[in-house]
This record gives sequence, C-alpha cells and structure tokens, in this order.
Amino acid sequence: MGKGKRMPESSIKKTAIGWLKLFIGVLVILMFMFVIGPWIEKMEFYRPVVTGIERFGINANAYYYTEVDQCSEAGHYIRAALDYPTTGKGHGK
Amino acid sequence: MPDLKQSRWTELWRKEDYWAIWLGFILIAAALYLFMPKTSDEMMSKIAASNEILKVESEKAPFKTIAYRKAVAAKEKFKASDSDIGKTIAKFTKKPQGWSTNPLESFFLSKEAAEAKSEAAKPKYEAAKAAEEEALAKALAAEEAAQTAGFKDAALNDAAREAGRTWAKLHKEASAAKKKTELKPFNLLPNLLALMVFLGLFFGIGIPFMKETKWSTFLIGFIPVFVIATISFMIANQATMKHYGIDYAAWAIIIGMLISNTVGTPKFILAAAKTEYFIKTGLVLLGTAILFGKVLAIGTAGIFVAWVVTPIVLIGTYWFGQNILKIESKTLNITISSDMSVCGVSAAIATAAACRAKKEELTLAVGISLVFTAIMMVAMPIFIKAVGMPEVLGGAWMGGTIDSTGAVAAAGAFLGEKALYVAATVKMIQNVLIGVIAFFVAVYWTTRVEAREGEKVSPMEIWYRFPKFVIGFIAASILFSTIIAYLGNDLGYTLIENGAMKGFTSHFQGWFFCLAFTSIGLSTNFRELKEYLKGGKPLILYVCGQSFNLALTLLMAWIMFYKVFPEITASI
Repeated sequence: MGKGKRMPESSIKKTAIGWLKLFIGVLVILMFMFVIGPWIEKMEFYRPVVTGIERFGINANAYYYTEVDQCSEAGHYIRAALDYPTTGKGHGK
Repeated sequence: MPDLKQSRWTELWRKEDYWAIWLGFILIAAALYLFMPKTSDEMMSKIAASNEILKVESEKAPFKTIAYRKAVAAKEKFKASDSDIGKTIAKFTKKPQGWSTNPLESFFLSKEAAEAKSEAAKPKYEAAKAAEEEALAKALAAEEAAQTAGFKDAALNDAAREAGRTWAKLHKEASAAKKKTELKPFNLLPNLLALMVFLGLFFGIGIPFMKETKWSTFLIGFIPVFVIATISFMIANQATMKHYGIDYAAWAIIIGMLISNTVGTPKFILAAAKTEYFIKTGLVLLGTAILFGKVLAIGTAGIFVAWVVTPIVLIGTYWFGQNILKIESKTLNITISSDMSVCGVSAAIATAAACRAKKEELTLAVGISLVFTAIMMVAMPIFIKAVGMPEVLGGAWMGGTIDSTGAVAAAGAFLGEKALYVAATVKMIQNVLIGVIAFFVAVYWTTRVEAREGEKVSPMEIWYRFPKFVIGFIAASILFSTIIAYLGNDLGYTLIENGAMKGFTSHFQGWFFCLAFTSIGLSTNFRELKEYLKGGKPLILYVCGQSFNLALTLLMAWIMFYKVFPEITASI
C-alpha cells in the first residue's frame, strides 16, 4: 500500500472475512483434535484398536513400511519361520 | 500433453526431473558412504550365533521355543542406524514428537517434565514386566514338559506353543511400556532451524539453473513452507490423530488449503511451493525402499496375494472407471485406482507423478484413501473376529486391502501376533510393487495415452516424453536391491535396510513429501477441487474398486495360504 492511499472498504471486508474463515477452520481442527476425536475413540467399537496401537506402540498413521517398526519385526519373524521351520525332526539328538 | 520439443543436453540442468535425480543421488551416495562400512566382526559373529540357535531350536521342537524367539529378536537388534553417525542423522532430521494435550511437548521437553513423565509411566511398566516374567516362567515350564515327553504329546506341544506366543505378546507390551519410562529431555527447535536452512540451500542448488524463480525469493518463501510442513508433522503426531491413522500428508494439504482458500497464499510463498521438485526428489529417495528381495518375504503365497491380485484390481478398476463410469480424467482414474489397489498415499504420489496428474487429482485420491483407511482399520478386524476367520487369512486379507501400512499394523495387532506379522509382510510386499506400477504407468502414458490417435510413436519421442525422474527412482531401487542381494539378508538388513535406508534416505524422503503436500495445499483452490467431485464418480470408483479388491484378495489368500501352500501357513 502506498502512503496516503487507503485500502478500499470492499477489500478490507474481504480480508476480514478471509481471516474469520481461517479462524473458523482452525477452530474446527481443534474441535476434532480435542473434543470430537477423543469422544469417538472412547466408544466401544473403537477402543480395542486404540488399545492395540498404544500397547504395541504402533505408528498407525505411517503410510510406508519403512516407518512402521512392526514391518521390520514381521520380516524377521516370517523369514525365520520360512528359513528355519520348526520341524522338531532332530529332537533327542 | 507434455512439450514435445526435442530433448536437449541443457535439460540436464534445466529440468526438475533431472534435478530430482541429481539431488536424490547426492543423498543416496552420502547414505552409502556413511553406513556401508558400519560392520564389525563382533556383529557378524553374533548374527552367526543367532542363526545357529535358530537351526538347533527349529530341529529340536515342533514349535517356536523361547530360545528360538529370543534369537529372532536378537537378530533384529543389529542396526547400523544405532551407530553414532546414525544417531546424529536421526537427530538432525527429527520430526516433531508425539504429544496428547500440550503441542509444545512436540518440540520441547524439559528435564523435569521428562522425569515426571517417565516416573508416571513406571507403574504400568512394572505391571507389564511382572506379567511378562510370569508368562516367561509358564512358557519355559510348558516347554520343559513338552520336552520331557519327547515332543510327542500333541497337547503338551500345543500348550507350549500357546504359552510361548503369550510370552512374546507380553514381552512386546513390556518393551513398549519400558520406552515410556526412559524419556529424555529434548529441544528440537535448533535442529529444525538447521534442517530448514540445509533443505532450503539443498533445493536452492537447482533453482538458478531452472530459471523459474529467483534464488532469494525461493529461499525466503521456503521458510513458511517448511514451517507449515513442521506443523503438519506436529498435528499428525498428536495421540488422537495417530489413532485415526491421519497422516502428515493429509494435514499438510488441509493446512495449506485452509490458508490458500481463506487469507490466500502470498506470492512469495507460492514461488517456493515447488510441488514437483520436492515430490520427484522424494520419489528418487523412495526408490531405495523398493527392495525387490522383499517380494519373497512370505514365500510364493505372498506373491500371489500382493503381486497378482493387485495388478488385476488396478487394471480392472481403471477399466471400470474409463468404460462404465466414464471418468473424464484418465490421470484421476489411474491415481485413485493405484492408490486404492496398491498402498494408499505412496502409490498415489508415485503414480500421479508418473502420469503427470494434476495436484487436485492427487489431493482427491489421498483424501478418499484417508477416509476409507480409517474405516477399514476398525471395521475389518472386528468383522474378522466376529466370523472367526483364522489369523493368517485375516492378516493376509487386511494386508492386501487396507491402504496405509500403519493402519494395516494397527488392524493386525487387534487380531494377534500372527495376523499382525502376516498383514505387515503382505503390505510390505505390496509397497515394493509401486516401483513397477510407476514404471509401467509412465511407459503406458508416454506410448498410448499421450500419443495422438493413429500416431506411431518413435522410440526417441517416447524418450522425450518419458518422466525422467522415474529412471532415478528405478535406479535407486535396483542399486539398493542389488547391494542387499550381494550382502545377504542379515547384513543387508543391518547395513542397508536399517542403515542407509531407514537411517538416512527415509528421514529426508519424509520431509520432502511433507514439503510437497504443503505446496499442493498452498496452491489448491476448493472450487477447482469441487469440479473433480462432480457426480461422485471418484468416490464410486474407489468403493467399487475396493469391493472387488476385498473379494479377490480374500479368495486368493484363502487359496494360497490354505489350499496351495498350507505348509507356509503351518510354519507361521
């Protein structure tokens, strides 16, 4: 804005509406994070999933296997199961 | 339609596709230089000792003994990322940490707060530890009883098997609880500042050569882009958001769009919102995680579930979208089809970049996937448990159908150890498929979709049109897969998978994708996005495709794990 020039009223109104919309948007996100989200996850059907995530420390919002520790564990477990299947053939030896 | 001007040598330093390759490979070279020599005779002898235990124990009993399980866990502990250099890189690239009610704890934790939190977590850990010790004693007693009977008593063997499984589960719970008692104070702000400067300068290298933006303008605009990306990581790491499986990509888009559609994105920020540049460099790094050795992670059965069903579903859904739903945009159709049939966000990013989809199309695909991932993560394990489906079958079904890997692990954990491991492994195999899919989508688009009707495309024209970053993506994949094949599984896991890849390239790749999604959000208009939702076709496409995916994956998993390869199921 140049010196002495005033912002037109419609532009001020538009900017104010923009900031108001941003404020409302942030409020909606906060509502979801701290009110609605926690309320839903306490429901009977959701609780077991939350318990599992917390109990095993699962990074449930990771999208790729490199970010999920359990994939690494699984890889080891399955590879060992396939490479060294528990046959019990040599027992007693 | 891409510009069909003849390729010139100048493209090597003028096009972002090539810059993505150069920058990506600078980081890959650094990763290999830092992590490849991190091996020792002690590590090698410990791996060999664990393998010997596995051999002896597998022949000793017809079930996984405690010693067997401990040997598997011991092998997993050898990681090059735990070396000093690994810890330094992890510290430098650290994302905002987990928190529940106070967002500042994502960036800063005082000594007093860390001690208080650790202290508060101790009773839970002690209870978990006591339960684990009790389970271990029971498992060892059950094992001894089975051994006394010469492992010939089926009931005693079953009891020992079950007791071992219970101990393994409680051991994991105790380990997770222990981590919460060992919290250390941290202050991420200096590191984040250093990372911001580094990434700004790193991406700034290519800016003067590409001649689209002034170097100084880019650097100034990069600051708010990085800040928004950091906030996205912070929100994604909030406890409740984790429980819903809402990842940073979604938050980066949401926050970016919220700004651009309310107060508007300032021009100087838009100048630094280089979506393609960030995404393609991130994809070259993602190539290091496309390890072809993973394909056989669960034997032939896994190949059928993840590598046969997935392309059938992908092609079937794309055909359905073109011929039945008549979706106008082919790029939107293939991005949603790939996102749904392969592995959600990562597949959507790779496919969208390979076929040059619009940013609104990628946004839509990610959004739809997010909603359905949250629903399926809860609904599928409940259904599987309700109908009494076996764990291996349920795990394979979820691994092949739920989009994101974290959600697959969460759903698997709900059912049990076997389900978790099978689900995570099937998903991992499917993750690898995105390299192949991206390559074929790029080839199909350059030779068929972008060619004029009746036009015969010459090999040189295919080369001009081909998205060059895909070459870097595939080259990174081949390079890392070859090194692992050369080193062998154990050393490859220690040095490459848990060194150069998870300890280096993956850290940077996560940041690059977050910067890309922030850029998408900052330059996306709600109105433009609404156009793509007309008639609800993208949603119908996803629902129909996913229904087909659910049916076919279940059928294939049942045939493979219970009819053709029952020995694999038995050994798991």
